Amino acid sequence: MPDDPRPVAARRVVTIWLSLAAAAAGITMLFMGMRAVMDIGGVCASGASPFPISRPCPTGAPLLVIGGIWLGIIGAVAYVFLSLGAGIPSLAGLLWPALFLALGWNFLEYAFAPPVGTGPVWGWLIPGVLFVLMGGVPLWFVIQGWRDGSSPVTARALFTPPGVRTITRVLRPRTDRIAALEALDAAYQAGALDAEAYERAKRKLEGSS
Amino acid sequence: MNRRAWILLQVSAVAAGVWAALWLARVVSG
Repeated sequence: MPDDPRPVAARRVVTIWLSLAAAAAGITMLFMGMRAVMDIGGVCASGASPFPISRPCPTGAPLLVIGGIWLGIIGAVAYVFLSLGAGIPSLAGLLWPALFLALGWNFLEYAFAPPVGTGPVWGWLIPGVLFVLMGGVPLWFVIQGWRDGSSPVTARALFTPPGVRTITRVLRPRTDRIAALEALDAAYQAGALDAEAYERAKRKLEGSS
Repeated sequence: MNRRAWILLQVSAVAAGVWAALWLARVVSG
């Protein structure tokens, strides 16, 4: 793999590092906060409420969950833009799988070994399976992309669904051929080609489908 | 910076973020 042709400014390197650290911290905070809430059965309330709170939130859990969500969103958005913009080998494609597999793990673990009562808890098992699928399927695509050799996650690879890539691959040669025929026709009209050369080139283009 | 250096740098960022969050979780849960 050749070195990156475009040098990245030191300041950009620092902001990329900080934004990725923030995204990772956000996901981990959400993970830990979710476990703290699930430890007491999965629901809690805190703050000023007109209703009596029967199950207060574990200490620190609201900060971990709400803070984790915000830190994760801000960090992830900044990291995706900064890293893809710099053209470096980015881990952006792993953020989504990391979030959903981490939370899915919590759901599955607590579904089979709930802190209250006995498992399996269907209300946790179903979201667990869903979250693992939502994280696992994109992860599979990311790994496939690495195997194909397009290893640094590019903006195009990240935001183009697989189906669209196939469609553009099928359509592009066709539109290229039409453009070439038009150019050839224009050259003939302008008198740059004689009739024989024009016919020969046209037959050659039409035959190359 | 080459590819390996970029990956290592970013893995260190993930490790630092996870460590900081675990530390925070321990501190705030008292």
